[in-house]
Amino acid sequence: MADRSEAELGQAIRAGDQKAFERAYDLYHQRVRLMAWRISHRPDWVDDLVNEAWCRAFRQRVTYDPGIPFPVWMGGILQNVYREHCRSSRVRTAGGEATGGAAGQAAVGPQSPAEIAAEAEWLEGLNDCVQRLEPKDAEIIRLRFFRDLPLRVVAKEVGIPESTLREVRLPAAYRALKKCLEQKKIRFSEVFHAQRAVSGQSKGEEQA
Amino acid sequence: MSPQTDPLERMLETLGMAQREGAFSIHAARYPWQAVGEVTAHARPHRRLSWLGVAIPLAAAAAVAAVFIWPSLFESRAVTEIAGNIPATVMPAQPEALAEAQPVAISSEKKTINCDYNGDGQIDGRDIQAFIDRVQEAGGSLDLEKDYLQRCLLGG
Repeated sequence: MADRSEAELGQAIRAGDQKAFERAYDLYHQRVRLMAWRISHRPDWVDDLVNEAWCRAFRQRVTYDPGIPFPVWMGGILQNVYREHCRSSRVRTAGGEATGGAAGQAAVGPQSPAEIAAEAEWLEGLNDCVQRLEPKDAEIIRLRFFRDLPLRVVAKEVGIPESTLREVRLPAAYRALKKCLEQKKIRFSEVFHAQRAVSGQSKGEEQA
Repeated sequence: MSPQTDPLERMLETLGMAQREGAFSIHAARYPWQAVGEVTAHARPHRRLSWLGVAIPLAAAAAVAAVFIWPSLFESRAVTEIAGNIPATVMPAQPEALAEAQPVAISSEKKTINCDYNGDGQIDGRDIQAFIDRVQEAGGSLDLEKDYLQRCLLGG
């Protein structure tokens, strides 16, 4: 926790200060949600995992080590909650058969809580940067990536030739995003490394 | 996805997937641990007041009973009192006892009650057969009418 105020926040959380914990929730709840989504690969589990993780963290707040970034601590709790959720889900399903993301401990993957937290921070930052783009660029990014539309359709939607979109507008939007991320001091290379690891893990799960 | 894809594009694709699958959400109105506490806090008064769920229907049933059953309770007491005035030696009424009962002269007052079924001017055991014949002709219930005749024969 580089920021002094965040360090103080960590100390207050450890001291059991409820207001400090609420402040941490306000700061990190979106990131924790993204972490839950990345850990579980189950959108329908995200709410349960997040709520349980926050409740558990609140109960255990006096055990929090301020030397560990708060999102990393939450990442560890989330992984435990996810494992338990998998086990209980496996018990509820017929004969203890587990499939896909519900395969229990093995499904958590090799990512450490720090890697999960870094990726979530990056995604959160990227989302914020998309909101800050010029409206036309933001619309292009939303259509292309959030709605997963092909370039041809996006070009038609925004009323420009596809070649212009591909060669001019999208690269310009990428440059603006990278600049925004640099201003946020989000280290692109580290996150990309983590992202590659996650992609490899997902592919491995798909093959399995 | 080709290996040449910009890493930023890969992250944007991940972000897009997160958006589509609802990983982003607006700020929750309350903190999860408070929601749990509120559920518990609400559960306690609910448990304390749960007796109302039984008490209210019971009170309503009692009110209905008071309104509809109370008056009929008095009526049945009146019937019991009338029955108590009937000589115990005759009760329970047997057809033989009724047949052997003394004739009751029809006073001007009692003529208003049409119990002289055979029309001989007297109400006695001979009216029984006429009574039975009349009830059977009318298709009525003998059980329902016999109390009335019994009261006539006994001078009630």
